[in-house]
Amino acid sequence: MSRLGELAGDATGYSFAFLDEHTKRELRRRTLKAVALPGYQVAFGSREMPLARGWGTGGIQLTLSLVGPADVVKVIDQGDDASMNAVNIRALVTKTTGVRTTRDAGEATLIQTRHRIPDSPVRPGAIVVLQVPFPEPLRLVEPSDAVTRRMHAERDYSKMWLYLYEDIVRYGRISLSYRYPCMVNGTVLMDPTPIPRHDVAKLHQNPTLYLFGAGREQRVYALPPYTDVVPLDFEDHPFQTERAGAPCARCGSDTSYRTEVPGQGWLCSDTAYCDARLGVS
Amino acid sequence: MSDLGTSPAGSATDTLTVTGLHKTFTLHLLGGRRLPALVDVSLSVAPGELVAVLGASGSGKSTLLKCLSRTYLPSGGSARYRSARYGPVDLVSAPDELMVALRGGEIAVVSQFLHAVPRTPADLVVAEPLLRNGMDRTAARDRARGLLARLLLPEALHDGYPSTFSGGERQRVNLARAMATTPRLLLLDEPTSALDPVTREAAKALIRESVAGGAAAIGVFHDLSTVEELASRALLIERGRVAAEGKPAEIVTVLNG
Amino acid sequence: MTLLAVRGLTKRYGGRVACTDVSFEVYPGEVLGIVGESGSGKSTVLQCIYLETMADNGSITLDGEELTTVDAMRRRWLRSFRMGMVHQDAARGLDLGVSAGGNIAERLLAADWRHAGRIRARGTELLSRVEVAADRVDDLASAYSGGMRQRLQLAKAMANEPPLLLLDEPTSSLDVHVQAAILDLVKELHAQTGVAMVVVSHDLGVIRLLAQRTLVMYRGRVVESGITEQVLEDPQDAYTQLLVASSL
Repeated sequence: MSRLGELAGDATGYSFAFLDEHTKRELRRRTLKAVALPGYQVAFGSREMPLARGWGTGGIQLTLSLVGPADVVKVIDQGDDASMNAVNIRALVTKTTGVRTTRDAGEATLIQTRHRIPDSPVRPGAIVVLQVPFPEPLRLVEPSDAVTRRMHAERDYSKMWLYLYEDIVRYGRISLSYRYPCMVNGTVLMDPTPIPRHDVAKLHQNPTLYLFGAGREQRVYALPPYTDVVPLDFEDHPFQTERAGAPCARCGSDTSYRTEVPGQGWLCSDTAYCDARLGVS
Repeated sequence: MSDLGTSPAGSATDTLTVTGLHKTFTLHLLGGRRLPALVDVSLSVAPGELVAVLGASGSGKSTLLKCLSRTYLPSGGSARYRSARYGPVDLVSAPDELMVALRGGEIAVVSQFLHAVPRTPADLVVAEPLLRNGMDRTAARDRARGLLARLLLPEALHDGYPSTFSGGERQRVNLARAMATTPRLLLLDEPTSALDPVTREAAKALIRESVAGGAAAIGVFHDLSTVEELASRALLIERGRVAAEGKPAEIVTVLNG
Repeated sequence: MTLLAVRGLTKRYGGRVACTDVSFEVYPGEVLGIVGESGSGKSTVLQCIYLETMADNGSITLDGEELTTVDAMRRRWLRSFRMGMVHQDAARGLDLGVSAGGNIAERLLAADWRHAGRIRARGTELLSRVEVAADRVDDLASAYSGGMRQRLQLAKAMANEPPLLLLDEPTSSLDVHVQAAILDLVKELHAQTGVAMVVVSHDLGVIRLLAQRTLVMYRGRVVESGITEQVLEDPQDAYTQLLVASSL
């Protein structure tokens, strides 16, 4: 009997990984379609999950549809494996699958993350699943779904370009800090989720498969390995990543994404990366 | 003095050959009443010729000119014009866009009504047809001002608005504009009527020069001495028909007699 | 040689015929006027040419390309590069919530301009050509007066230098002296750029000032067409005679 079965006893009723097999099949089909159409938002029937909408139900549904007994899973939230959300999501995964988990990005085969891409290199063949609050990159400039659908269909992104242009006119620079719109394969505009610009820059021609799941909005999209991902910018205002105020106060890295923590200075957001540099696991 | 009714064959080198031109107005607002204005008018004009059209008021002189310029739509007949650019063109049936093109350069029209293009300085009014034909702005303006100067329009008025000008001043602006493109056919309706003797001489000189340069002209002049000075032939129009044709002095006599 | 050829254009709204069997040509660089009263169908014709409305029947060719069958992307391209439109109501042609420079920039961005400095410079240049001061380039379009909004529409429509400009009652909503200024500007733009225009108006004065050839429309049909001077001085059709006689 599986570990799950032991634990469940008479109450055995959940599938492996919580979702029934039909749901997993639907999700995988949707995901395959998304992979076939890089950047394009594919609709799927978002299921009821044991966590509220807005807390990562899209990412979780993707993870649970993909995870198998041999997988090694890492879950982070804003770069931290120990944040409460990451802990709870990881617990749901282990409770319903019994798979091994890890903090080491290089060891994981499946990484679910909110708002960050790990700074340490990911293992070849691993899948990174991002939690998406708002899948539609044009929402900033167009409230209507009917209109954004037409815009994508006709590759009419002039309204977004205009928004960025007006930013430059008004503030001298593009002021967007997160959900930075990117052109995928030169054909589809995509919202990379609220990852920092530092991480947006990593997406272009990246060898990893990235999946984006939005549970509340019921969309999945994907960036297959080695896809062109180009953030919108101007010739005289090229895309710029954030510059931290100082190297990490803990490990000394000056290449990781760092945030300023009151009372502690600038620290790596990717805690596992920081620990690894210090030789701490 | 030649007899009329017979249409002159018109030589192949004539600039304009009009055959059996007629015009009847249909006034729909008056129940469709028909007003014949021109009946069976034929004439020809060669390069270097100015044909004067004489007749009592209401006889059809202006109507004839307007039918040739297509300001009025002729009811029938033909008006074969030898265009330098387009070859033989029947002004009666030519497509509108061709008439617009001809009136923009080869065919000059001076109306008896002293229209003024609003809010445009005189030199630009004169230069407009040149600019439309692609002439450089400075060259066009220089030519325009030169023509205005030849017509004795004071320099101070060269950039004034013709809508504020006197009749004589407007008339000279209109004549200068007509002459600007070195036209091949002139249709002149009372082009000097508002001018005093001195400015009239200047206008006549300009017209004479144009005709001497090879232009064909048909003109209505109320001043008979101008007719005798400028015209090589004259036509007498009576109730829409050509009543007589011959030397200017002869026709003037008929008119007065 | 024809720039625009319209053949048998017909558009119905339910049982009502907006325009029927309308045919005409526009040649490069000329100004064609379409005059008619409300309900004549003149605005519908323009909307069909600009592909804002799909005609029910007929053909529209621009430089030999049939417009009635193009797909949405081509339609957008045509409306950016081959045709510009100035509406009577500026709110239809402008985004009032965006700056004046931004309105023009939108056209340039759609034409794949990607240098912000050059976009801004071109926007300022286009605005100066329509006689709007450079210091107003960043003002929201909603802050512009009626006359200035029409100027802005002109600048925007001409941004990618299309060969054809469509003007639908461009000055009808404006005060008289502002109308005159805008019409003079349209004349000047035509003289400077040689763009072909179709000007729709109910006002004979506008037609007389701008158009070399004119069509008269009545109840959806073209009832007369000719050199503008001839249509105004020797109208043939009964309705045209009534229209000209009614001119104040």
